[in-house]
Amino acid sequence: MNDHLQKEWEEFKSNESKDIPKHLDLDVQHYVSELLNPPKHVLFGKLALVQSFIGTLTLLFCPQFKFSLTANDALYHYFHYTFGHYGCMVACGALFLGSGMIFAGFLLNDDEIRAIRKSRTLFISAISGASLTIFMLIGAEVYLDMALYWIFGTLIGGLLSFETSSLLKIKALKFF
Amino acid sequence: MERTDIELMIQYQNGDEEAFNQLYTRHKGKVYGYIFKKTGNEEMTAEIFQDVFHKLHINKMKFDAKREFLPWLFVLCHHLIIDHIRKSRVKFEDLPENLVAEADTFISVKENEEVSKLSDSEQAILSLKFDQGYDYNEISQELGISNAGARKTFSRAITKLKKALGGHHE
Repeated sequence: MNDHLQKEWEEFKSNESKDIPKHLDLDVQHYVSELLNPPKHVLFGKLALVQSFIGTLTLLFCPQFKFSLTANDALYHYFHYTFGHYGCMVACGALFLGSGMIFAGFLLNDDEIRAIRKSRTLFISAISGASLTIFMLIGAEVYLDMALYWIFGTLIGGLLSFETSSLLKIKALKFF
Repeated sequence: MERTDIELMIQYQNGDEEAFNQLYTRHKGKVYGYIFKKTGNEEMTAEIFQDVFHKLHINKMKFDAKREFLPWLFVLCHHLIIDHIRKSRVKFEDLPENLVAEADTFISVKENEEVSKLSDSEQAILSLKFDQGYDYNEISQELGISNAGARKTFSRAITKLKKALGGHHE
Protein backbone atom coordinates (compact mmCIF):
# COMPACT_ATOMS: atom_id res chain seq x y z
CA MET A 1 0.00 0.00 0.00
CA ASN A 2 1.50 3.39 -0.94
CA ASP A 3 1.87 6.15 1.66
CA HIS A 4 -1.26 8.02 0.64
CA LEU A 5 -3.42 4.93 0.71
CA GLN A 6 -1.88 3.90 4.03
CA LYS A 7 -2.86 7.28 5.45
CA GLU A 8 -6.38 6.90 4.07
CA TRP A 9 -6.59 3.44 5.61
CA GLU A 10 -5.55 4.75 9.04
CA GLU A 11 -8.15 7.50 8.71
CA PHE A 12 -10.82 4.97 7.76
CA LYS A 13 -10.03 2.70 10.70
CA SER A 14 -10.17 5.51 13.21
CA ASN A 15 -13.52 6.91 12.09
CA GLU A 16 -16.63 6.28 14.12
CA SER A 17 -19.67 8.29 13.15
CA LYS A 18 -22.69 7.97 15.42
CA ASP A 19 -25.07 10.17 13.49
CA ILE A 20 -26.07 7.93 10.60
CA PRO A 21 -29.56 8.95 9.41
CA LYS A 22 -32.07 6.27 10.37
CA HIS A 23 -33.55 6.16 6.86
CA LEU A 24 -30.15 5.12 5.50
CA ASP A 25 -30.03 2.15 7.87
CA LEU A 26 -33.50 1.08 6.80
CA ASP A 27 -32.74 1.57 3.10
CA VAL A 28 -29.56 -0.49 3.14
CA GLN A 29 -30.92 -3.31 5.27
CA HIS A 30 -34.17 -3.43 3.31
CA TYR A 31 -32.29 -3.53 -0.01
CA VAL A 32 -30.12 -6.45 1.08
CA SER A 33 -33.04 -8.28 2.66
CA GLU A 34 -35.02 -8.09 -0.57
CA LEU A 35 -32.12 -9.40 -2.61
CA LEU A 36 -31.39 -12.26 -0.19
CA ASN A 37 -35.06 -13.27 -0.13
CA PRO A 38 -36.47 -12.93 -3.64
CA PRO A 39 -40.24 -13.60 -3.85
CA LYS A 40 -41.17 -17.11 -4.98
CA HIS A 41 -43.44 -15.87 -7.76
CA VAL A 42 -40.56 -13.85 -9.26
CA LEU A 43 -38.31 -16.91 -9.15
CA PHE A 44 -40.98 -19.06 -10.75
CA GLY A 45 -41.52 -16.40 -13.41
CA LYS A 46 -37.84 -16.30 -14.30
CA LEU A 47 -37.57 -20.08 -14.43
CA ALA A 48 -40.70 -20.27 -16.59
CA LEU A 49 -39.37 -17.62 -18.96
CA VAL A 50 -36.06 -19.41 -19.48
CA GLN A 51 -37.79 -22.78 -19.80
CA SER A 52 -40.29 -21.41 -22.35
CA PHE A 53 -37.52 -20.17 -24.58
CA ILE A 54 -35.12 -23.09 -24.31
CA GLY A 55 -37.85 -25.72 -24.18
CA THR A 56 -39.34 -24.34 -27.38
CA LEU A 57 -35.95 -24.57 -29.06
CA THR A 58 -35.69 -28.27 -28.13
CA LEU A 59 -38.95 -28.86 -30.00
CA LEU A 60 -36.98 -28.18 -33.17
CA PHE A 61 -35.20 -31.51 -32.82
CA CYS A 62 -37.09 -33.51 -30.18
CA PRO A 63 -40.87 -33.86 -30.26
CA GLN A 64 -42.77 -33.98 -26.98
CA PHE A 65 -46.01 -36.07 -26.94
CA LYS A 66 -45.71 -36.18 -30.75
CA PHE A 67 -45.76 -32.39 -30.86
CA SER A 68 -42.89 -30.82 -32.79
CA LEU A 69 -42.03 -27.55 -34.55
CA THR A 70 -40.26 -29.39 -37.37
CA ALA A 71 -40.37 -32.82 -38.98
CA ASN A 72 -37.04 -33.64 -37.36
CA ASP A 73 -37.70 -36.61 -35.07
CA ALA A 74 -34.45 -38.55 -35.46
CA LEU A 75 -33.58 -38.07 -31.80
CA TYR A 76 -37.03 -39.26 -30.72
CA HIS A 77 -36.63 -42.43 -32.80
CA TYR A 78 -33.18 -42.98 -31.35
CA PHE A 79 -34.54 -42.73 -27.77
CA HIS A 80 -37.44 -44.99 -28.67
CA TYR A 81 -35.19 -47.59 -30.26
CA THR A 82 -32.63 -47.48 -27.43
CA PHE A 83 -34.81 -47.16 -24.33
CA GLY A 84 -38.19 -48.42 -25.40
CA HIS A 85 -41.49 -46.53 -25.27
CA TYR A 86 -41.50 -45.50 -21.63
CA GLY A 87 -37.74 -44.97 -21.44
CA CYS A 88 -38.14 -42.63 -24.41
CA MET A 89 -40.70 -40.57 -22.47
CA VAL A 90 -38.28 -40.31 -19.53
CA ALA A 91 -35.43 -39.25 -21.84
CA CYS A 92 -37.57 -36.71 -23.69
CA GLY A 93 -38.78 -35.19 -20.42
CA ALA A 94 -35.23 -35.03 -19.07
CA LEU A 95 -34.01 -33.31 -22.22
CA PHE A 96 -36.90 -30.85 -22.32
CA LEU A 97 -36.62 -29.59 -18.75
CA GLY A 98 -32.92 -30.35 -18.30
CA SER A 99 -31.92 -28.04 -21.13
CA GLY A 100 -33.97 -25.17 -19.71
CA MET A 101 -32.67 -25.64 -16.19
CA ILE A 102 -29.04 -25.73 -17.37
CA PHE A 103 -29.46 -22.21 -18.74
CA ALA A 104 -31.46 -21.06 -15.74
CA GLY A 105 -28.65 -22.10 -13.40
CA PHE A 106 -26.21 -19.91 -15.32
CA LEU A 107 -28.48 -16.93 -15.88
CA LEU A 108 -29.85 -16.43 -12.38
CA ASN A 109 -27.79 -14.62 -9.74
CA ASP A 110 -26.41 -16.33 -6.62
CA ASP A 111 -29.24 -15.11 -4.34
CA GLU A 112 -31.89 -16.46 -6.73
CA ILE A 113 -30.05 -19.76 -7.12
CA ARG A 114 -29.81 -20.15 -3.36
CA ALA A 115 -33.52 -19.40 -2.90
CA ILE A 116 -34.52 -21.91 -5.59
CA ARG A 117 -32.23 -24.61 -4.21
CA LYS A 118 -34.03 -24.42 -0.85
CA SER A 119 -37.24 -25.61 -2.59
CA ARG A 120 -35.84 -27.01 -5.81
CA THR A 121 -38.18 -29.99 -6.04
CA LEU A 122 -41.17 -27.70 -5.67
CA PHE A 123 -39.96 -25.30 -8.37
CA ILE A 124 -39.00 -28.03 -10.84
CA SER A 125 -42.32 -29.82 -10.24
CA ALA A 126 -44.22 -26.58 -10.84
CA ILE A 127 -42.37 -25.91 -14.09
CA SER A 128 -42.94 -29.51 -15.17
CA GLY A 129 -46.65 -29.30 -14.37
CA ALA A 130 -47.01 -25.97 -16.16
CA SER A 131 -45.23 -27.35 -19.23
CA LEU A 132 -47.46 -30.42 -19.33
CA THR A 133 -50.55 -28.23 -19.06
CA ILE A 134 -49.38 -26.12 -21.99
CA PHE A 135 -48.78 -29.22 -24.10
CA MET A 136 -52.30 -30.38 -23.35
CA LEU A 137 -53.74 -26.98 -24.22
CA ILE A 138 -51.99 -26.83 -27.58
CA GLY A 139 -53.38 -30.24 -28.53
CA ALA A 140 -50.45 -32.60 -27.96
CA GLU A 141 -51.32 -36.27 -27.45
CA VAL A 142 -50.94 -36.55 -23.69
CA TYR A 143 -51.91 -39.88 -22.10
CA LEU A 144 -51.72 -40.57 -18.39
CA ASP A 145 -49.14 -43.37 -18.40
CA MET A 146 -46.81 -41.51 -20.82
CA ALA A 147 -47.27 -38.29 -18.87
CA LEU A 148 -46.19 -39.93 -15.61
CA TYR A 149 -42.97 -41.23 -17.14
CA TRP A 150 -42.40 -37.86 -18.81
CA ILE A 151 -42.86 -36.03 -15.49
CA PHE A 152 -40.40 -38.41 -13.87
CA GLY A 153 -37.90 -37.57 -16.61
CA THR A 154 -38.41 -33.83 -16.20
CA LEU A 155 -37.79 -34.07 -12.45
CA ILE A 156 -34.59 -36.08 -12.87
CA GLY A 157 -33.30 -33.98 -15.76
CA GLY A 158 -34.38 -30.67 -14.27
CA LEU A 159 -32.94 -31.28 -10.81
CA LEU A 160 -29.63 -32.67 -12.05
CA SER A 161 -29.16 -29.90 -14.61
CA PHE A 162 -30.04 -27.08 -12.24
CA GLU A 163 -27.77 -28.41 -9.52
CA THR A 164 -24.86 -28.80 -11.93
CA SER A 165 -25.09 -25.42 -13.59
CA SER A 166 -25.85 -23.52 -10.39
CA LEU A 167 -22.88 -25.05 -8.56
CA LEU A 168 -20.62 -24.20 -11.51
CA LYS A 169 -22.02 -20.65 -11.53
CA ILE A 170 -21.39 -20.14 -7.80
CA LYS A 171 -17.83 -21.42 -8.18
CA ALA A 172 -17.25 -19.18 -11.20
CA LEU A 173 -18.51 -16.11 -9.30
CA LYS A 174 -15.68 -16.50 -6.85
CA PHE A 175 -13.12 -16.21 -9.60
CA PHE A 176 -14.61 -13.69 -12.06
CA MET B 1 -19.14 -15.74 21.43
CA GLU B 2 -19.05 -12.94 18.88
CA ARG B 3 -18.45 -14.05 15.32
CA THR B 4 -15.46 -12.60 13.46
CA ASP B 5 -15.86 -10.54 10.29
CA ILE B 6 -14.68 -13.46 8.16
CA GLU B 7 -17.13 -15.88 9.78
CA LEU B 8 -19.91 -13.38 9.18
CA MET B 9 -18.88 -12.87 5.55
CA ILE B 10 -18.84 -16.62 4.90
CA GLN B 11 -22.32 -16.91 6.36
CA TYR B 12 -23.46 -13.86 4.39
CA GLN B 13 -22.14 -15.51 1.23
CA ASN B 14 -24.39 -18.45 2.12
CA GLY B 15 -27.39 -16.13 2.28
CA ASP B 16 -27.50 -15.42 6.03
CA GLU B 17 -29.25 -12.07 6.42
CA GLU B 18 -28.47 -11.83 10.14
CA ALA B 19 -24.76 -12.17 9.35
CA PHE B 20 -24.99 -9.20 6.98
CA ASN B 21 -26.87 -7.14 9.57
CA GLN B 22 -24.16 -7.79 12.16
CA LEU B 23 -21.39 -6.86 9.72
CA TYR B 24 -23.29 -3.76 8.70
CA THR B 25 -23.94 -2.64 12.29
CA ARG B 26 -20.31 -3.26 13.22
CA HIS B 27 -18.79 -1.18 10.41
CA LYS B 28 -21.38 1.33 9.24
CA GLY B 29 -19.98 4.03 11.51
CA LYS B 30 -16.50 3.82 10.01
CA VAL B 31 -17.85 3.84 6.47
CA TYR B 32 -20.17 6.78 7.02
CA GLY B 33 -17.62 8.80 8.93
CA TYR B 34 -14.91 8.26 6.34
CA ILE B 35 -17.14 9.17 3.40
CA PHE B 36 -18.43 12.29 5.13
CA LYS B 37 -14.91 13.40 5.96
CA LYS B 38 -13.91 13.06 2.31
CA THR B 39 -16.94 14.68 0.73
CA GLY B 40 -18.15 17.11 3.40
CA ASN B 41 -21.59 16.77 1.85
CA GLU B 42 -24.45 14.85 3.50
CA GLU B 43 -26.30 14.12 0.30
CA MET B 44 -23.27 12.72 -1.50
CA THR B 45 -22.30 10.82 1.65
CA ALA B 46 -25.70 9.14 1.78
CA GLU B 47 -25.48 8.21 -1.90
CA ILE B 48 -21.98 6.77 -1.63
CA PHE B 49 -22.83 5.04 1.66
CA GLN B 50 -25.67 3.15 0.01
CA ASP B 51 -23.50 2.36 -3.01
CA VAL B 52 -20.81 0.85 -0.77
CA PHE B 53 -23.20 -1.69 0.69
CA HIS B 54 -24.91 -2.29 -2.65
CA LYS B 55 -21.55 -3.07 -4.19
CA LEU B 56 -20.58 -5.15 -1.17
CA HIS B 57 -23.67 -7.29 -1.73
CA ILE B 58 -23.11 -7.67 -5.47
CA ASN B 59 -19.47 -8.65 -4.93
CA LYS B 60 -19.86 -10.71 -1.79
CA MET B 61 -19.05 -13.96 -3.59
CA LYS B 62 -15.70 -12.51 -4.65
CA PHE B 63 -14.55 -12.00 -1.07
CA ASP B 64 -11.69 -14.35 -0.26
CA ALA B 65 -12.01 -15.73 3.27
CA LYS B 66 -8.21 -15.96 3.50
CA ARG B 67 -7.99 -12.16 3.49
CA GLU B 68 -9.19 -9.64 6.05
CA PHE B 69 -12.58 -8.05 5.64
CA LEU B 70 -11.99 -4.48 6.79
CA PRO B 71 -9.25 -3.62 4.26
CA TRP B 72 -11.48 -5.04 1.52
CA LEU B 73 -14.34 -2.83 2.68
CA PHE B 74 -12.00 0.17 2.84
CA VAL B 75 -10.79 -0.32 -0.75
CA LEU B 76 -14.39 -0.60 -1.94
CA CYS B 77 -15.27 2.58 -0.09
CA HIS B 78 -12.21 4.50 -1.27
CA HIS B 79 -12.75 3.65 -4.94
CA LEU B 80 -16.42 4.58 -4.81
CA ILE B 81 -15.60 7.96 -3.29
CA ILE B 82 -13.11 8.67 -6.07
CA ASP B 83 -15.58 7.50 -8.73
CA HIS B 84 -18.34 9.70 -7.34
CA ILE B 85 -16.14 12.74 -7.12
CA ARG B 86 -14.97 12.24 -10.69
CA LYS B 87 -18.51 11.84 -11.99
CA SER B 88 -19.91 14.75 -10.03
CA ARG B 89 -20.46 17.81 -12.16
CA VAL B 90 -21.74 19.97 -9.32
CA LYS B 91 -19.20 19.47 -6.60
CA PHE B 92 -15.56 18.59 -7.12
CA GLU B 93 -13.94 19.67 -3.87
CA ASP B 94 -12.77 23.24 -4.38
CA LEU B 95 -12.85 23.27 -8.17
CA PRO B 96 -14.83 26.09 -9.77
CA GLU B 97 -17.72 24.73 -11.79
CA ASN B 98 -16.25 25.62 -15.16
CA LEU B 99 -13.27 23.37 -14.41
CA VAL B 100 -15.26 20.28 -13.47
CA ALA B 101 -15.83 19.37 -17.09
CA GLU B 102 -12.11 19.75 -17.68
CA ALA B 103 -11.42 17.24 -14.93
CA ASP B 104 -13.33 14.63 -16.88
CA THR B 105 -11.45 15.69 -19.99
CA PHE B 106 -8.14 15.05 -18.27
CA ILE B 107 -9.19 11.62 -17.10
CA SER B 108 -10.22 10.59 -20.57
CA VAL B 109 -7.32 12.05 -22.51
CA LYS B 110 -4.43 11.41 -20.19
CA GLU B 111 -2.72 9.44 -22.92
CA ASN B 112 -3.12 12.39 -25.29
CA GLU B 113 0.12 14.08 -26.27
CA GLU B 114 -1.20 17.46 -25.11
CA VAL B 115 -0.82 16.28 -21.52
CA SER B 116 2.80 15.36 -22.11
CA LYS B 117 3.46 18.92 -23.31
CA LEU B 118 2.65 20.27 -19.87
CA SER B 119 5.49 20.91 -17.47
CA ASP B 120 6.53 18.15 -15.04
CA SER B 121 4.97 19.96 -12.10
CA GLU B 122 1.71 20.53 -13.98
CA GLN B 123 1.48 16.85 -14.97
CA ALA B 124 2.31 15.77 -11.42
CA ILE B 125 -0.41 17.94 -9.93
CA LEU B 126 -3.05 16.71 -12.40
CA SER B 127 -2.11 13.11 -11.70
CA LEU B 128 -2.18 13.55 -7.91
CA LYS B 129 -5.50 15.34 -8.12
CA PHE B 130 -7.40 13.06 -10.47
CA ASP B 131 -5.66 9.69 -10.28
CA GLN B 132 -4.92 9.65 -6.55
CA GLY B 133 -7.73 11.89 -5.30
CA TYR B 134 -5.36 14.15 -3.32
CA ASP B 135 -6.64 17.46 -2.00
CA TYR B 136 -4.55 20.67 -2.27
CA ASN B 137 -3.02 20.27 1.19
CA GLU B 138 -1.78 16.81 0.35
CA ILE B 139 -0.48 17.93 -3.04
CA SER B 140 1.42 20.82 -1.49
CA GLN B 141 2.98 18.45 1.06
CA GLU B 142 3.84 15.85 -1.55
CA LEU B 143 5.47 18.33 -3.93
CA GLY B 144 6.92 20.67 -1.31
CA ILE B 145 5.05 23.74 -2.55
CA SER B 146 2.51 26.08 -0.96
CA ASN B 147 -1.22 25.41 -1.05
CA ALA B 148 -1.75 28.55 -3.14
CA GLY B 149 1.04 27.46 -5.49
CA ALA B 150 -0.61 24.05 -5.97
CA ARG B 151 -3.95 25.69 -6.84
CA LYS B 152 -2.33 28.14 -9.23
CA THR B 153 -0.35 25.45 -11.05
CA PHE B 154 -3.41 23.24 -11.30
CA SER B 155 -5.54 26.03 -12.72
CA ARG B 156 -2.81 26.89 -15.25
CA ALA B 157 -2.55 23.24 -16.36
CA ILE B 158 -6.30 22.93 -16.89
CA THR B 159 -6.42 26.21 -18.84
CA LYS B 160 -3.57 25.04 -21.09
CA LEU B 161 -5.27 21.70 -21.73
CA LYS B 162 -8.56 23.39 -22.47
CA LYS B 163 -6.88 25.71 -24.96
CA ALA B 164 -4.89 22.94 -26.63
CA LEU B 165 -7.76 20.49 -26.88
CA GLY B 166 -10.26 23.16 -27.78
CA GLY B 167 -12.83 21.76 -30.19
CA HIS B 168 -10.83 18.56 -30.91
CA HIS B 169 -12.15 16.71 -27.89
CA GLU B 170 -15.72 16.01 -26.81
